[in-house]
Amino acid sequence: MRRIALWTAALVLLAALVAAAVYGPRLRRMAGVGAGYVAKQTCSCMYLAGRSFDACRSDLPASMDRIRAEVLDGVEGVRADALFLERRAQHIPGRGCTLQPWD
Amino acid sequence: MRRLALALVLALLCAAAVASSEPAAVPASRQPSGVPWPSQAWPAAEPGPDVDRAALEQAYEHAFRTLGRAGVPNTRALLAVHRGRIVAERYADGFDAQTRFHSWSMAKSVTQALVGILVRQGRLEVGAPAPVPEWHGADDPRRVVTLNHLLHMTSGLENADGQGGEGFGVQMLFGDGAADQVAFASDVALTREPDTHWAYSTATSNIVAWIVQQEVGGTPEALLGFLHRELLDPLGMRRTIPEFDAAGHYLGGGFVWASAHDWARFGYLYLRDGVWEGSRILPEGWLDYTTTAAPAPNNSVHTAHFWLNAQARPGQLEILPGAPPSAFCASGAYGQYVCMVPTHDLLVVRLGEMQGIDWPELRSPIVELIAAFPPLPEAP
Repeated sequence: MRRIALWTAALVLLAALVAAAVYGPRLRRMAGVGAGYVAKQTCSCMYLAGRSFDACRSDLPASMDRIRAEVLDGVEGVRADALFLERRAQHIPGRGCTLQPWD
Repeated sequence: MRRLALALVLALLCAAAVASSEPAAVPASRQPSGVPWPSQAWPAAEPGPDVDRAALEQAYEHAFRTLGRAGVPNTRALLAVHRGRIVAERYADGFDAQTRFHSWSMAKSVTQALVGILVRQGRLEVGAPAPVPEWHGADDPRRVVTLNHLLHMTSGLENADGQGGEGFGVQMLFGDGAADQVAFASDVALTREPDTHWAYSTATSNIVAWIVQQEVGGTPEALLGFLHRELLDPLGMRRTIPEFDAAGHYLGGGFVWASAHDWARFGYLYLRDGVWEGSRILPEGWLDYTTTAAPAPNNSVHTAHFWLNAQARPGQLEILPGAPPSAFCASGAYGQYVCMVPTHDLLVVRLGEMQGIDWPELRSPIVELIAAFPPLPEAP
């Protein structure tokens, strides 16, 4: 019985690793797009359209509600993160909001 | 996440389209005598006696009826300019004439205007090979791509918005390509002969924007200086701001923010054949170029970064079915419209969102609004 349990656990682990290898990179890319979208659009909406953080978030598609976001401290900008990927957009007067480079 | 990607790709693609009827380039209407140009402020007036006021009011009611997620109407600004004057204007609560609205793909049309100005100045030729150095190696097939192909989105480059599993466009705007969007957009293969296939491509517009920026000095400051000096300041567009990526590239494919009055000024330049207060801003013939469909078998509605009110080909969307065939538009995702109707001396601006509604619900009030206005008398 114990050997069956071990084999089952090994197969589940293998399946998880295969799934992560196949879907992981794509999932991360999409998480990055989502975080970038929320950071950029919320920043531009706040600093160019002059609307509140909550009003700007409510304009985003419902599929982005799970992406956390907050206004940056000390500078005009917004950070957002999804699946541990963080994206920041910063406002420069006269030039709008720019997504900052990330590693 | 997959739904998010699909939604974003669809939103970008939905910037692509326009309505039914044969394309028809018509002479631009002239500034009515005694009506001041809107460089300082838009002149306003009640609709004329020949305007169907009941139909106009009903169109407005329909436009503001559908609500987004927070209970805010999807339409946030709707205004009509008839014979040079604003005759109807309304904003949703929380928005007004000072609010800047996101262009989405209407930025492409702003970029087209900048190209036009450089053509008028003799600094760019649309028929010349696109001045992208990486494409001009001796064996590089991309050296045949012209600025005209790029404006028409018939270049054959593999950078259409819907390209790839997650969508090339959204990856460029918000994902792996966001920091240097021009590098991401231009480092692609040529997979078709130019002018054999139309493909909607925000990446292509960012390349066009980069060409403009390089021509005027390369830096964001140089682009801003040129934009203000040659376009925004003459038109009185004081509430307009373009955005840039982290590499300092003007994001002319989708990121310009402007007030509804400024969007109306931009459209009015095209309604007046590129002339503003007696000065030619866009070159002679640019309006014809703007209202002539790009030559590809799968396209009938996209021109040089504008949209015709013509019968759409399969795979292209229709935006204003039933509106006059003379109408042509700048159009962006989520229902941003600046539409010129020369046969009616009419300009319509619709800005906002489209949450929980489909394209027919969004566009039908705009068509209703246009129908409230009479055509100009036939020329003798």
